[in-house]
Amino acid sequence: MPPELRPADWLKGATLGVEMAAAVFLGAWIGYLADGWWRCTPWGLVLGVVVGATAGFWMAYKLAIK
Amino acid sequence: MNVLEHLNQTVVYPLQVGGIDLSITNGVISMWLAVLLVTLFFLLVSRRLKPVPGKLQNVAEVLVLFLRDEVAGQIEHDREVWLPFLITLFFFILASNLIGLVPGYSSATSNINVTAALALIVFFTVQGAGLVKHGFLGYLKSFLPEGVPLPIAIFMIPIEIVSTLAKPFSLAIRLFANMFAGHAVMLMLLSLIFFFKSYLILPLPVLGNTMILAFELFVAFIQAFIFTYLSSLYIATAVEGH
Amino acid sequence: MDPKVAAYLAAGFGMSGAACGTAIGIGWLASKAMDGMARQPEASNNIRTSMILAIAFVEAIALYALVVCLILATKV
Repeated sequence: MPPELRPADWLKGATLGVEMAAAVFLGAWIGYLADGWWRCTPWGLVLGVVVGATAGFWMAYKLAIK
Repeated sequence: MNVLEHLNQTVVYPLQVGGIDLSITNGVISMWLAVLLVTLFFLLVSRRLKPVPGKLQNVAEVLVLFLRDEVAGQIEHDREVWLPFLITLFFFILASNLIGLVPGYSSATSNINVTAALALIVFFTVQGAGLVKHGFLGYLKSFLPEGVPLPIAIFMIPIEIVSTLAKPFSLAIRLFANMFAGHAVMLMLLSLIFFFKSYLILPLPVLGNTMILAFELFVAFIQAFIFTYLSSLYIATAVEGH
Repeated sequence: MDPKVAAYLAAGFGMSGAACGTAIGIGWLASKAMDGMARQPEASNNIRTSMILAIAFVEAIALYALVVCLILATKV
């Protein structure tokens, strides 16, 4: 008999969408601030988006492995 | 005619303390109202605790027991330490969300500043719990992902930092967006009456607002639960180990 | 055309397009998941968990479009 799926278990995945989007925009904002600080437009923003996207997918990967 | 200005805060009593603008707005008043409501509710419930509960105590018991078993069940040990914080968080957010549904009142949580403050409280609590439990070196070591060889792990440190910062950010944005969107949709439907300047359009806003009010009631409970559940999940992952 | 008008129009069309794509994607995903769950009810827990995870990915893309449209509609 498979274990009963409590709402607690799938709720971790249901909120993942907002967390992934938040990671990308947070990375983009940090990249934008780094652009203003070190004057390396537009590569700071690009790097920030890449780091944010990787962080989002890393969070999804850790959740999928569980 | 700017419809969205009803969603802004109106200053009731201007107040400046040392250069910082601490005016009493209607958001501040609804936060005080939420605190008063939660305090009065629990004072009334805990005055005469009966073994077979009456109606009000039954409501409080259902919610508190649900929080204790499902939500704080994420934390393995020291559950009683975190339970008052989580229960307070849940009831404050629930009261703030529900006050916004009464016509004429605004909810405190439909303001990004309030939800950002709540998310910051949770963020500092989670980091502080990790620091106290694992010590400073263990806290720094939690930024290295495990199961990955060492050079790649060093490379993953900024990614871990971004994901740690993204969690309270997503908490604040989720609660704010859900509450604000409900109020904005209701306001847009009502402003249809002013836009068309006739009473023939009346069934659409009335029916629409009734349905959205019911949906907003559901969303108020769900969002309070999700905020508290994710906070307890972050506390559990920060305190685990040993 | 006035830039503000163009920005508001772009915000409206952009978000509605993203919502269409997201709704179609999630509906297709859920229908395949229900096919699988009906075919083999013992695996229903695994299928449900994977479905929720995949829905989160699709929803994240819709959220990117939402933020871009919000910036268009409020800043210009």
